[in-house]
Amino acid sequence: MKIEKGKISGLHLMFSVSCFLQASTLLTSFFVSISKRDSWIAVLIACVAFLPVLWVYLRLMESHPGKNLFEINDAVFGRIAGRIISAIYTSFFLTLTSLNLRDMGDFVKQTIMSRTPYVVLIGICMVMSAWDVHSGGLRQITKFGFAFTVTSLFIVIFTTVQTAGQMDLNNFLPMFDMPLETYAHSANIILTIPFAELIVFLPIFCNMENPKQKLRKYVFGGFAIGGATLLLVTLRDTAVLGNTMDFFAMPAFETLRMVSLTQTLSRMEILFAFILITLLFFKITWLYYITVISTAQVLNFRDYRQLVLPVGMIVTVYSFILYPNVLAHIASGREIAPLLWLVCEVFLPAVTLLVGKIKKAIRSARPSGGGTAAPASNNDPSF
Amino acid sequence: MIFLIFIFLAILGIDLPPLIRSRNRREIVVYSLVYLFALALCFLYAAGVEIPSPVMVLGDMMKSVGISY
Repeated sequence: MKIEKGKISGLHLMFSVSCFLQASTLLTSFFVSISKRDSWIAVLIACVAFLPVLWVYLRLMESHPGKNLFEINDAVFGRIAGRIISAIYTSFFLTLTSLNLRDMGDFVKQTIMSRTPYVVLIGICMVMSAWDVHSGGLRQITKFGFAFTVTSLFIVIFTTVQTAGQMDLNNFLPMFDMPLETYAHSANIILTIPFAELIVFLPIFCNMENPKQKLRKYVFGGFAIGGATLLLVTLRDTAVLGNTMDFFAMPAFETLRMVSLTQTLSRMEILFAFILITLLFFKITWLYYITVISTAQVLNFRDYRQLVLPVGMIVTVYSFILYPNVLAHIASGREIAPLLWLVCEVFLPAVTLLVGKIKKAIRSARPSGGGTAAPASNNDPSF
Repeated sequence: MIFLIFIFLAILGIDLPPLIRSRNRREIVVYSLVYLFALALCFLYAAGVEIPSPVMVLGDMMKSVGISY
């Protein structure tokens, strides 16, 4: 049973993907402290390394047309094992939602509203997101992707031009002088934390209009915009801050503190804060929506909206208990998450694709018309 | 704590009428379990009970077997 029946256009999907990736520009501190001035190389390596992962996602969806991630799990692994795997995905999506909610709370608290209680910042965001998910659904959430993406790109390009006077190209030197493991570690973080988080789009790829013809084009387009933004931000921060980048919890924010148009028009970082809060709100709402429809699918609910509020309360409390402080969060983002996230982002989709292919090969090798009938859950012509 | 009770009553007020009207007993039972889980989690946190973070627990387990950077 499909929970979400609404359709979105390819362009909406593309800008949602790019918006989702652009919202992660806050998290550059996870990898710039490792690869320092060569972080842009790590971003490029991660972009290349993500292409086969993206291919797995797209092949998985294309080999099961009209099905979402949870229906595919049921079809490939059977009803019980499929549900268990779907529950693992759901808990992963829940964790991602809480993590991003926590990131937004930390960011707003540290930069703009330092005297506002944390619970108020997170509570307001969750109320707005719950309203969006409950009353709007898929079309409502993706509607503003284009506006957010263009605004974000404009601000990144504008601030890059404005900081041009403070850039020093010597900050990139010497290049390629770090151990290979450093690049691999940094690229792994970039691969798992912003890029492969695109797995959260798998439950709705089948809701795209004409998914057969244009899915690849729009998903690659969204990834290209998001990846280019991350690369541009990393290059700009390296050129401006150099090796001091790893002293800051938010290098991009520190770069923008240095922008000053005239003596009276300074403090441009508020522009960055504005667009980052907007993008993070989009990302949190998207993740929240995916968590709710995943929960509804696993629990076999007919209408996901009945679960919006209780799941929202769980997400809110989970964001408080995830990490005791920002340092523990950053340490986990560097040491644990790049490996732990691989299970849901790379291993499970790859295994699903592989098992589906093997089942298809076995079925096509059987003589047609004879023998026992295939189980109902595997009776899909797409195999 | 009073604010939390108010929030959970409001959630019941929003979600329960359509569930009862649908007369789907299974969905009512499952919804009640999710609601009670959220309620217990929120009240434990508000009461200052230390709830272990699953991500930190998994991280410690991975570190103990040497799977980490």
